[in-house]
Amino acid sequence: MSTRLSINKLTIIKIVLAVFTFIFVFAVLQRLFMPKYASYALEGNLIGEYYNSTMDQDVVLIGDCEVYANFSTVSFWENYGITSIIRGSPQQLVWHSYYLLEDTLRHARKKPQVVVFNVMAMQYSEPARDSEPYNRLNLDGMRLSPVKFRAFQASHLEDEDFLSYVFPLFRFKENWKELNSEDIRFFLQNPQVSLNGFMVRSDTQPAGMTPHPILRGNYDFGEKPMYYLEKMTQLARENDIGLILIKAPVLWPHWFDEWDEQIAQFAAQNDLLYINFYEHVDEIGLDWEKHTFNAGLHLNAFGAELMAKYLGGVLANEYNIPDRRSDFYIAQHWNEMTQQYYRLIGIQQEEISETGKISSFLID
Amino acid sequence: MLFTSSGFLFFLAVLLLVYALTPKSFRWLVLLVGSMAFYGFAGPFFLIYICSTIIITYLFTMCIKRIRATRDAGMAGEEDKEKRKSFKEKAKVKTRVLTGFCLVLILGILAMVKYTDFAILNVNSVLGLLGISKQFGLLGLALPMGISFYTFQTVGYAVDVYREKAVIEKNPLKLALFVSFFPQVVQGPISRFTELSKTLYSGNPITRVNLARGANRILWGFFKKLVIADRLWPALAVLATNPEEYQGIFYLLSIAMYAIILFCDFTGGIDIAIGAAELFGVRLPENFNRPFYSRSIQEYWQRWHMTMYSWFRDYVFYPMAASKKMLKFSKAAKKIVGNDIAKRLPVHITLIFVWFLTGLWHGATWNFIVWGLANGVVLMFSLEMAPIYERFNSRFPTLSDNRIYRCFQIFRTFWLMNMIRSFDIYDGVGTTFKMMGSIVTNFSLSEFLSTGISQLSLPVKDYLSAGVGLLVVFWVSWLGRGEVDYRERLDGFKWPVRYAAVGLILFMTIVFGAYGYGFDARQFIYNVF
Repeated sequence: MSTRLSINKLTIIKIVLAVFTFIFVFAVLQRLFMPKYASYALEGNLIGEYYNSTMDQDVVLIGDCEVYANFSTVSFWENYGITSIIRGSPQQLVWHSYYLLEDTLRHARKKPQVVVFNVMAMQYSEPARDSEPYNRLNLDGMRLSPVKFRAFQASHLEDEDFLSYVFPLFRFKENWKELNSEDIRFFLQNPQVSLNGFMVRSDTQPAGMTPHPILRGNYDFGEKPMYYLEKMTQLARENDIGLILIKAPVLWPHWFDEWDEQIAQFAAQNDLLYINFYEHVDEIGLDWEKHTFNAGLHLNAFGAELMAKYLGGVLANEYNIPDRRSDFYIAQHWNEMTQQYYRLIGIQQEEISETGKISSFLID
Repeated sequence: MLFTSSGFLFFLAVLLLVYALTPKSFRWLVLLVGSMAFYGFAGPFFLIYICSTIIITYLFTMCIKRIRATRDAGMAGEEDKEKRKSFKEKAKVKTRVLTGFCLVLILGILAMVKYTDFAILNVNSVLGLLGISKQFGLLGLALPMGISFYTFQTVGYAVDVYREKAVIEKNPLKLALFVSFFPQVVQGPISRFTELSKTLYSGNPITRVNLARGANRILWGFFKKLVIADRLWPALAVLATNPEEYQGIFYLLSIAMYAIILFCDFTGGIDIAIGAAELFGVRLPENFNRPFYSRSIQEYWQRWHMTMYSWFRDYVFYPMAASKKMLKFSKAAKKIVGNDIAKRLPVHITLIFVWFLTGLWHGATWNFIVWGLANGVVLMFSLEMAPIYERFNSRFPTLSDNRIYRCFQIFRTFWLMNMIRSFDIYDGVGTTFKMMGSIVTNFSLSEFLSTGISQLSLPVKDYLSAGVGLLVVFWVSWLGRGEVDYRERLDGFKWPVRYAAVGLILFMTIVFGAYGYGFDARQFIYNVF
């Protein structure tokens, strides 16, 4: 470089001051305009909440809404003393799940003993054209790392660029038009919406008519989801972690037998346990009149409790996941979470009795 | 590669780094490689066109150099005046022929890719009118990026070489850099070799001043393009594509909006080009001088797209108006139309021809041709009216200094140019005339008052942000009064004010800019010319 770039002390001070001011203002604006997900799309907070947890987990559940709505982490603890966390977000595709697993292993001080992966997303070979908001819900919460970059590479749409994932202000700048009190209230910290990734909804909308399944011409899973499922299996094997494949029980969207056979075959080939919960609905005690909050698409908190009770049994008995209830510090943390859970259930039930619907979703 | 993309900024940063690390004598080569890479990003196939133009120009100018060397050698050893004259004449004829061939070839490339389909369409229309069923197929050639700009720049160089105003560049790679220099290849400004070569090959060091000034100018370009032009574009698109629905006052709104958008789009692109060149210490000519403050159409064209205007003036208008043939024609016309008119005929004919070419240069459509001719006619009319204006001004000598009268002149020129420019907005010449007529036939004031601008696919807050942006543009324009670079005026303020002003522009661009997901990254309007 030329010597003409040499500058005096005062200029250096000015430049440093300007750079710091720029960074500060940029950071403030970015934080201000980032969605807080406090009154809509609460799921936007799920991925990021993982980093708030200071505890190690023995079980990690990975998948889409069929995981974060259908399995109660609190019930795993209450019934078996199993510590667990869910890493799920809406419309989470298999490659999202794979990189979330990589991310989880990268951050965990102690590796989990079992990873449970819900296979619902195996049917999606490519992201839908309008799936950018789902990419954001998934990737925005991830901390910046090479894993996040690879996750972006695997999932981005044509018009998306990684820069806007590093500096989300470039994506959410338009929010200046819709700023409201929530943006100020949750400026420093987004609200907590889950208990270790489990979103609590205790309202009920019984299942009625379910949509007809959309028949396909070809039921073979695409190359991309298969590739990432294999990678996930490999990653679990390399880290000496048990991998369980599951299909959560929901009435729709339809899970075809052809898909089920492929997963069962894959599990058999790789010596994995595969549980299709449709086959165990009666055993679990699920009642589609009581245990769903949106007509069979997702389970409510009571359904999620039953699911955790059933899966917890499998984890405790077949995978020897330890009961941590005798560990004081762990128990203190989980008992506090359990209290938060029942407090929220209480508030929601009260709201239902008063107004017929719930409006409180945030964990206090 | 779009100037306003993050990719371009990354490209600039990498090129700057490589440039700074390269020894001085090779720095121009870095610029050449960067320029070719930049051009290649637009489509590797397009490199064939630009390289053909470079090779043709180089070969012909080198032939001219050889002819002149022979001429000079012959003249040096010759004392006989007649023989010296003969050497000179022979060389002149040869260089004229060579220059002619050169221009035919490089303009031929432009004509082939830009105008062939237009010509075929018109031939097909004529055949159809004559009842002939034969129709020719279109070539469908893609228009190489900036072909109109680099072709004109190269023509300028070839003519300057012919006129012995430019030194013939011996190094083909240096000539290639002149033609393809990446900041200006997209949409100008159209540089002259004599001017640009002063800084282009000198391997200027990266200096703090150049970095600061260049970055400042680039930021200003981003601001105008993203905060105003691209933000307002969707509303204009609604107005322009629904002429049946939006007439009268909406037409006035659309032409005013187009004036703002085109100004911010074009000057924004030029700002980025000048700023990017400035980072490397290369000076590009200014292309605008606050054109909306013009008090007449002549003044407007001396302040808007100045390099194109001066190009046509120097390479078409003057040579044609002062040509022997035109003088002969004027002489012959004297007998028919009288001395007074015959004297003015060469100017008027040339004026119309130049503006026909200007329209054609802008695009291969009748809209642009009519736009060019309309400019020519108005300019011709104002030339004819000049004596009346002079008489008027001598009768009211203080009027031209009157602020209200000056505002009236600016207002008149602004709207006159807007009307002419509307040929660029609507699809078809007929539609444009119809829209002009709608001011009288269907003013639609009540519709405008009841629905306003909220129906034009943009939220009111978008108009608000663009409006605030426009105020900033006016402020900066005011800073640049008296042909002073706004940055120099800004330098007069204390550093906290300067830094705050730049910071404000930067954050306004980041927050209010129309870019990123959900926005169509819109190419610059002049990029397709």
